[in-house]
Amino acid sequence: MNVVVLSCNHHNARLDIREKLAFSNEKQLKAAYAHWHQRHPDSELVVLSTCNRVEIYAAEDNTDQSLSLRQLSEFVSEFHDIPSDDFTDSVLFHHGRDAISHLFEVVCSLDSMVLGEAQIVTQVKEAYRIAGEQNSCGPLTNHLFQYALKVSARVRTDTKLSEGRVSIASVAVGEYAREIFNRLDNKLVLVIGAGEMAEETLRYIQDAGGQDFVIVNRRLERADLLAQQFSGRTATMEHLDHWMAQADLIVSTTGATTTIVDREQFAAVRRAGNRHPVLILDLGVPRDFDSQIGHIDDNVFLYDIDKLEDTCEKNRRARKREVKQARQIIQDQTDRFLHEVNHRATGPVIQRLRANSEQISRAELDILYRRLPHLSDEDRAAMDKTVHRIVNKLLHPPLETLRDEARSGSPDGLLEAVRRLFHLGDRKE
Amino acid sequence: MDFLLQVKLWCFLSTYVVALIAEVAQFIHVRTRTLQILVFIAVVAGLTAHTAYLMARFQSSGLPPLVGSSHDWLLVLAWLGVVLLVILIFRTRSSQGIFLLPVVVFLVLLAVSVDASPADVERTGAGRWWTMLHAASLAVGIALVAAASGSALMYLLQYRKLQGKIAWVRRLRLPNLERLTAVNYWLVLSCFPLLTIGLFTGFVLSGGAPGGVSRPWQDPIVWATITVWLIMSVNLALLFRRKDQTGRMVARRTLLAGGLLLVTIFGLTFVTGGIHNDSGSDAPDVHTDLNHS
Repeated sequence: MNVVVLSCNHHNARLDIREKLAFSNEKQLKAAYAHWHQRHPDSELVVLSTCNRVEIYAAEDNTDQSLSLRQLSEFVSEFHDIPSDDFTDSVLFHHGRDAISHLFEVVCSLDSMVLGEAQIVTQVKEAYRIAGEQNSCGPLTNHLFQYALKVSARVRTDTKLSEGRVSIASVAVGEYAREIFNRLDNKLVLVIGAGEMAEETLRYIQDAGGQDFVIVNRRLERADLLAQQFSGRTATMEHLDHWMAQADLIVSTTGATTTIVDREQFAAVRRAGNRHPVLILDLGVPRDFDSQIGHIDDNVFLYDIDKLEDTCEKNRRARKREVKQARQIIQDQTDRFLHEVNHRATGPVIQRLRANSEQISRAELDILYRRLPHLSDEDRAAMDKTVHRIVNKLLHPPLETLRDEARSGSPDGLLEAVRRLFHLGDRKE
Repeated sequence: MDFLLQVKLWCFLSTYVVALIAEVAQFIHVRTRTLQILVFIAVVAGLTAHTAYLMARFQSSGLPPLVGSSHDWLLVLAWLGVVLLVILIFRTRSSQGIFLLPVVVFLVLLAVSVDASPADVERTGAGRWWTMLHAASLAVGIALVAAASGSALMYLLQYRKLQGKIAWVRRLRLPNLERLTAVNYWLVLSCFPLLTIGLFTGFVLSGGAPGGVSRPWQDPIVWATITVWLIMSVNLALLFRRKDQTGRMVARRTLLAGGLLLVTIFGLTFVTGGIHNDSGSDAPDVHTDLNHS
């Protein structure tokens, strides 16, 4: 088996290099597959291109002509029309077992920028789907990618690698809002500020069921855009107190240089309202809400970005503790995968060897029976049995050695030797 | 139905203890599917044996367990707790077992140490129904107060968890504050009329019906129930009349009422040997053991 991967990822390549090597859309990918198969019609190819990595997996059943880094580099260089010297130092090349193990690590999200993130699984599935549609997958890549997705599922079930949220917005919504509120569809969400963080947090709140949004911003045009996107309402800063009194969840993400809500202001808001539980997620730096606001009454829950970042860090550390166990699973699964592939490779050779031996012994016995027609059926059966036993005993040592070799590693060399020694012909027959 | 007589008290007590150990192990170490399944199997097996035991007691005494004896009454209370736990296991993924199972085990152990002989109640007629109503409303009312205390405790722990001040609380899986507030509200609301009926029927029975208490004003359990009833009345009135009542305030009062009730009723039950038993010379001679059936 011959599997190679050229990997350009966030660990070893700068963003500008990754951008140059990326296959940014499906159309470009299809062109890449066509280009590859013009040059290497007998090989299989899967390209994984995300914002953090470009990985090119190539496989070939023919062990005589090993795919090399040079071939993969030339392909990338020609397709993107950039000199290979521009990226050679920024790519990694894995071969055989390392390539398989690398794919398993990628799909299990051990190699991701955010350890344990789930998006990579979807991206690998998508890459595999497109390769399949382009008839670029063969028996090796099909088996490899299907196996990789199973390994990913196993790692996510058996370890806590994907547990706990690790981004500020997801922690804010998933670990705090859910600990206070039973449901978000009947809650009024007030968002102060209309920047990227506001948008990201709103997306998480909407995913968690939030429906009723009010966006307050100094520049109403930006608030209007965000409100349109999330089917919300907008309000001016003058109406902030009114909406704060009604809101169940307040997300503040302004770029203000000082606090925008002080203790006295919020205490007055609480006195005017019915003191229902309110969760304030202060994601502004510097903080938008006075830290004393959290002590106004029992139903005010105020979290600033430091508190949320602490939780993210704890979750990250918890995920890191799972890496060792995940790697162990990946190593075991890599061994099993290789064993399966090697076992499959030896199967046809063993079958052919047995069939050949059977054919030869049958032909010789037929000649003998023609010369000795007086032999009874019992005599013939006894002779058949004896010859069969002799053939089996003669074949047992080479076949057992072949099986041992398949268990311990690649049996390609030995398979070739058996083919030549026993005149089994070409494998493609 | 003879097989019911084979069920011993230790059967379900031991399964509840196993479930409790598994819950504690999950809390100390890590939540695993195997331990969760073990808890579920142990609780369901215990509940089955518990139900069979109560049915056997009913068959042998001819009295419903609620009025059969203090022993039976406590076991019915524990049984209600286990039923609640099974429902919660199906509905939520919280650490409810770690709160409910200690109470259940405590009640079963308490039942072992109190009077198991059949109570002297009318077996037919109006007196029996008054006694049944009294025992049933108090049993369910007290169970609801205990459940309210449990939810109040969970509320306060969840509140501490959100403040992030106590590390070990982070390990608990608790329902969110909104759900706990709602549960607490409905439990306070529903236990109040039941305690009221229980107290009222108790006073009616003290008027001379068999099974009633001859000197209610000298019975500390009556006083404890009245105190709890008063705290719950205040709790309810404040909930309805004051808009500044936070879930934490309600939880604290509920926990106070529940704690007082549990300590007084169960403490006195243990000291005097049964519900409405006088201490000292009147203490019952008949105590049950773990093999009682």
